[in-house]
Amino acid sequence: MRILIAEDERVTARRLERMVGEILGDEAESIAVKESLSDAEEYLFEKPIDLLLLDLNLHGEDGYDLLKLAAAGSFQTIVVSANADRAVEAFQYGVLDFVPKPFDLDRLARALERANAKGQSQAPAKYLSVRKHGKVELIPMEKVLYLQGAGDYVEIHLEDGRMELHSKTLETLGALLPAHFERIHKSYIADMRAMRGIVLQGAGKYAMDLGKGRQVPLSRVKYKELKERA
Amino acid sequence: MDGPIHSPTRSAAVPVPKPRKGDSRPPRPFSHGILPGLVLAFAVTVLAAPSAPVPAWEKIVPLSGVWKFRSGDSAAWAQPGYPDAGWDSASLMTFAHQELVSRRDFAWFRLQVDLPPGPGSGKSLAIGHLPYTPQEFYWDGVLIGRNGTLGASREEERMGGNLLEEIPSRLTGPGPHLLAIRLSAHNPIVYPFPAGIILGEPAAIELHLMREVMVMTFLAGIFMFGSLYRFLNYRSSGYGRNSFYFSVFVLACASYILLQYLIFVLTLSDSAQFAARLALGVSWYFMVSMIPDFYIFAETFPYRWVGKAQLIAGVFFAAPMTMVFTGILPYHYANRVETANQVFTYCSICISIWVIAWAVWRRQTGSRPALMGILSLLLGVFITYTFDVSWGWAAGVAAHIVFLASAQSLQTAERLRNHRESEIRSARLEIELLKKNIQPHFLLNSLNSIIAWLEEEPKTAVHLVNALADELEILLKVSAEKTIRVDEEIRLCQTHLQVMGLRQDKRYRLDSHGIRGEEHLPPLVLHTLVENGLTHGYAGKSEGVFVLKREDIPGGIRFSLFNDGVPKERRDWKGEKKGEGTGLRYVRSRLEEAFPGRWSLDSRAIADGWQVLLDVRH
Repeated sequence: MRILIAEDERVTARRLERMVGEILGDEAESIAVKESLSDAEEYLFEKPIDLLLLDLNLHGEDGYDLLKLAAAGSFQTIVVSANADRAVEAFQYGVLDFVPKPFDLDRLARALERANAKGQSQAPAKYLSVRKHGKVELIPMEKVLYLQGAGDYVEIHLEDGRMELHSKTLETLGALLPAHFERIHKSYIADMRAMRGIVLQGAGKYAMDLGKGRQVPLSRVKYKELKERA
Repeated sequence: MDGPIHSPTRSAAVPVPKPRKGDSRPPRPFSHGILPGLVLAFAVTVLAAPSAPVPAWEKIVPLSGVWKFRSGDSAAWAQPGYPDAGWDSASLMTFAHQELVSRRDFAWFRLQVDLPPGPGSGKSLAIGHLPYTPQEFYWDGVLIGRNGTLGASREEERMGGNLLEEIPSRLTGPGPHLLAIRLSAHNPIVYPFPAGIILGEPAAIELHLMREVMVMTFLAGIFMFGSLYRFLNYRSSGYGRNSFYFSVFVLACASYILLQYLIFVLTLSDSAQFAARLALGVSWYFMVSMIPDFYIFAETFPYRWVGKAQLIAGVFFAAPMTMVFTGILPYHYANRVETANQVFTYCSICISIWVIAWAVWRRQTGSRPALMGILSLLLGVFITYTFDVSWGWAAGVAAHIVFLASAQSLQTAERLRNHRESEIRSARLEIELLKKNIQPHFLLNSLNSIIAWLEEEPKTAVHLVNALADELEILLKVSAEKTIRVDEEIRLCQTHLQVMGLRQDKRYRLDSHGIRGEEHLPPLVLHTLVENGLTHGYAGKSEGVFVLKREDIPGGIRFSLFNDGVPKERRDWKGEKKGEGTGLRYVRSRLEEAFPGRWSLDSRAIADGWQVLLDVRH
């Protein structure tokens, strides 16, 4: 796992670095530390990472601007901050975990475990943050109908028929979604509340009807599971 | 009860001459006050105009006809039949010819009075008068009363305190009678003429005099109370200094009214008389040269020299007046001095109108009642000076004071409201201060750093704990203060830099130059500026230097705070860009609270760093 630590207090950054190394051991491919927002951005631009450990109060800049930016990235974000009162808000933008300062080894280990084992976020995101024309845009979760994985990125299909692209993988994005979003196919995640019915397409193929003539592929395993649930 | 008197002012015996303009001017110092002003005003307003005929029986009649007078002394001049056609004429009611009588002489005044027939005739009557000079009263040649002791020299003369001389009923039959007054006037501070003479039933005159006492004490009492009330307001906090000025002004009015009365009614020793007249002059000075209207709006009025100029100019007018009052200047200067004072009074009023007009234009609280007040005064003064109606002036002053009090109440209400609001603001700022610095994330971050140091280097952890304790200690100590000494603030900044340095593993320091220590600033102003400097521009650096300098600038002090952190992007502080950050907003509201309107703050990037200039004017 490639990790970036964005932290302006050097002694804390060193401690984080030490602990992450200790927890992940060989799994930590690389650990980088950046002291400022612009340094971190520069780094992200050059090197792909899997996990960002972010101090929310970075040099007085509004941490949330960075948070939105981070959430739109391909990597997962774990916030490590003393502003515990703003954890709820942080989760809404789509972070995997929020580790309040001061922290200990166990708490950090749990957070890293969640990132490593593709665990579900502690609280679901309320928005999906996407980069569009160089700017970050927030899509409210209620507008999302289904997601389609396309290799390194995800197509987000909205209720109104529009489509947005997200640079996370279907896996990492899935970890942030509310419970009513379910993996229905290797490449699809759909809002189960929008399901109108199941379409048998023959030859052992199934599709889920999401209304307005929109049908998305449904895996055989999921079809069976849904039948049992019913 | 029937009034016995008919005063045939149009009869040949008491002819009414057309008063000459110059003659009819009263000696203002005493006539636009209360005595004899109010005394006569009372008679005039209650009864009739001085020279108008009195067609029916009246209880009190002012003997306002044209008197005959002559310097010198002779027992024969008391007799009704004495031919006085060759004597000079004077109208006492209008106070003409104040200097009729040579100071070295005795003088006689004679007036023929026609008592009409009717149910009142034959009853006992009385002459009411003011004890200006030692006087003897003769009715149809009979001595009916003596006030004080007449004398051939200043030493022999004694003032009396009588206000009333009775005429026996046997002498009050219908027809013509002669009133003759013999007086001596060697004392330079008394008027060498009899004034304010009225005729009527003794009981009615007594009642009339009592009424005067009542009116006088009533007015003076109201003013005194108003003055005291304003003064106490001023002494208690929350009321402005204009309460004090107003208190002085009203006190001056009250003592002017009271002294005028006391000087004539009480029999005072010469030194007491002199002291009272001196006090009268001083009261007069404050009355004409202090424009309370100016002081009411002085806080915002741009031309502050006006008040001082007025006070200084007032000396030049009030001093000669006081000298006339006290007899230092001969009495015949009174008219000239008085004319100058009239001009000055008008100037004073004009300046007040200017100040108030400005206040009305600026929509200042209380400016409208103040305008009403000054216009009332102008009207009153105009009436007095132009038509010789003495009560006009007193009424104008009273109306002026009432309107001013109303204007001031409005201002006081506003002041109290502002005061309450600023108290609330102070409390809010204090909370903001504590929240900003003892807020959880500051402590939690610090604790986090302490843990990190404990694992890495326990000794440094101890330093950090100590520095943090120092900072919190100073914070709690200064949080409730409105301003603190700058050296204490510097110590606070230094402990903060130490804490932040240990947290970030960097070295920060604050140097100060020219600080004397006794300068005061609101708490955490420099601290907040240092904090802002810290959050920008030290990424990737291991050291930071802050420099605080104090310089004297014309009319105040300048604090300049420089730090060598260069923000990566050359832009204004985020706070400024987004309107205003909480840090700077805190600084601005604190400065405004401590130095209302007397400070300025400028922050900008300069070569190699950032500079903040904070100017505080005295």
